Amino acid sequence: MERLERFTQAYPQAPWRGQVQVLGLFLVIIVLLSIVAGVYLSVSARSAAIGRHIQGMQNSIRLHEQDNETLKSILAELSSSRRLEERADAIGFVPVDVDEAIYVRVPGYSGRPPITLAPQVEEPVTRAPVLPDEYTESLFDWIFRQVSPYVLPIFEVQK
Amino acid sequence: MNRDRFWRFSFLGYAISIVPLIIVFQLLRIQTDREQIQAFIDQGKLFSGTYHTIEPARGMIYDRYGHPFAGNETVYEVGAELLYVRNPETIAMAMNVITGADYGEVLGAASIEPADDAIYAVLAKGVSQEQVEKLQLLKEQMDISYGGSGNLDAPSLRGLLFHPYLQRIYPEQSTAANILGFVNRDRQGFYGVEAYYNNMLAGKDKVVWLPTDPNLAEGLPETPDGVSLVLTIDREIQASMEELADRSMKQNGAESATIVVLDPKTGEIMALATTPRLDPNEYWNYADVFPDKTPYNRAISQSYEPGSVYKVLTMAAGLDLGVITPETEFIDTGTFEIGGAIIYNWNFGAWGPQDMIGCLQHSLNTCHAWVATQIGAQNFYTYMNNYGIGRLTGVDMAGEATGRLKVPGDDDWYEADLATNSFGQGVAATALQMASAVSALANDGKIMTPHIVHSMIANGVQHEIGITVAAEPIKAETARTITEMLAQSLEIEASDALVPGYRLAGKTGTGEIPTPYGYTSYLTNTSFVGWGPVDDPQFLVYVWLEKPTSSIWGSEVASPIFAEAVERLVLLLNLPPDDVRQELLGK
Repeated sequence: MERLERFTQAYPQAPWRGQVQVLGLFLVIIVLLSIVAGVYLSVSARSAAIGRHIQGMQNSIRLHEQDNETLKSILAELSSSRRLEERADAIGFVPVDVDEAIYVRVPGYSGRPPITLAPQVEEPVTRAPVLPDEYTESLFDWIFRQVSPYVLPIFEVQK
Repeated sequence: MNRDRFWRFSFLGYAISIVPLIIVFQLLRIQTDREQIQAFIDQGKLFSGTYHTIEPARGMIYDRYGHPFAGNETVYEVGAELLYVRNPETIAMAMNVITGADYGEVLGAASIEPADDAIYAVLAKGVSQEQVEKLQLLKEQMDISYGGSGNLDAPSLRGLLFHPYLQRIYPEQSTAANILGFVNRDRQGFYGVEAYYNNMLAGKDKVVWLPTDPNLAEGLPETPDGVSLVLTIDREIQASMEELADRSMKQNGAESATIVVLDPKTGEIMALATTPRLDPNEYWNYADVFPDKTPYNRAISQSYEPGSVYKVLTMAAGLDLGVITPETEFIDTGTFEIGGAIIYNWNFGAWGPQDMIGCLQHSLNTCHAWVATQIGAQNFYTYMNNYGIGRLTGVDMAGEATGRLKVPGDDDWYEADLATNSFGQGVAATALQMASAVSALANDGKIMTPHIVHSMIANGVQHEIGITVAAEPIKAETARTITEMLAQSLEIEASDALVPGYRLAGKTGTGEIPTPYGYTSYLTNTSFVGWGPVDDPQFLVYVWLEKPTSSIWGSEVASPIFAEAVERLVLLLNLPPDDVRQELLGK
């Protein structure tokens, strides 16, 4: 009680205390706002940098895809029938005559099939169980599965 | 304070207060006016990003073993950003020297005064990467040498922009060009497979909004490439047949040559060689290569009167209907009268008693006209319809012609047409139509729909195109009988079409060419259709030489070409001679 009286007595005698408090509060708000602004600026700057990076990468992907197409075409040109013929001529190959051909039977070889460049939809899908029975069966099913190899033959014999 | 002065100060005070109030009011008014808001939003959007069209890569086209027939390569559009162009003359000169672009055109485009509606000018398209690298190097060198001079007349390539895009390329050049067609700079397919499957090959463009604000940058949507096609064509067979067609055309002084190779059991087209051919990489030469109305692919787009190759269809119809047998005798007196017209043989001779094999062997017009009358007009044209004559085969290439089959009831059909049609005159068919029709004889009476695409690759999955029976005009037994008759007739005749070791069935054809005044041309269409091996047909070859000058007869022009085509074919198909094959199969 005495301390409170002393405080209230001292307070009017030093008005700067109140001003310091207001100023302090103002500075705290400024600092907090600065921190928030700084964090916001940092995040948005990073976000912008990443955004630019994404745009750059997308452009890079597009250019690489175009390069891939070009490389495929260069490869196709290098392996074209005209080029292969030139190379075959250069190393001394000559076209075979129909009566010079020798045929041998290769067991299991049924001729050259057309190219498969991607998985074919016609191929039957192998339906192997993804989960073992233990994960889906009931307790009764499990017991039945365990005992059936021993019990069923007995029933069959009795028949 | 003086009262007057107070009034003045008050007025000034009010005025100064009212002006900001008006400004505030105006601000509020603008910000709450919906039309204005929308106008400002729209204007803002103009600068907040750009619309960009993502063009998927056009699908590849492969031969049946995966050799690319058509792909894509990166080329550049070279343009000028008009605001930054300093010296249009330098740009025009550099473009002319490095890319070969027209100096005047480039100068005109680069000299356009920049304006709101003139920001960018296209200077050249389809510029190669190598040329662009040269231009970029020159641009840098000029910037280093003259960039800081401040002289506006100094050489400069400033303002040049390079935009990469994909352009169609055909690595095999003119090989299979008639089948493939071509793609122009607007990515539109013309002729052949490129036109028929244009929408699938091109894929679907996607328009996306690319914001300028990097904070709004998002991943681009997935744009699947166009569908790729695997053709039934074997590149080696195709190239070989084209070389044979080109050489035969020259050697025989013919106007054109066509060779169709078909698998009669599946309808797969193994090769389809025609002349002339265009290098589709330089499609702008189209008008030079195909003057007037020259068809891009004669095998499917040009019908002609096939002549005696057609007799196999007539004979097969007669056998199938049971009005004749191989042993049926026909006494040839050299003429056959029908509907007031007299039919003669090719040599105007009389061949006396002949069985049906003899009729085929000597290619007697009179005999086949008689067979057609035995069949009867109604039945004859029903058979011809079933063979697909006068109708599209349904082949998956653009520009197929129907041909023409006059039938009773048509204004221009006369009774004599039954006779002339029986030996392939007065009826028009394409080479592919004929090959398809005759394939019934090589495939137990069934015509499989001829097709050029074996499978499609879309979204990483390969879809095989199933084979379909287009028609079954004759019985299997009839097909085997006529095949045997034709094989015998070739052997008895010791035809130039025979290939040692391989038993083949076939028939020559010499078709007269109609003119506005009748069959007055001394030139002919020479053809040969054959298939083999007789016991298990693996191929059917149709040869057509248009207006050869070396000889007018199919037996002299087309038969040797057929034999050479088969000799090449059996090697490329790894098809051993009959005795070796039977021995190997027996093991």
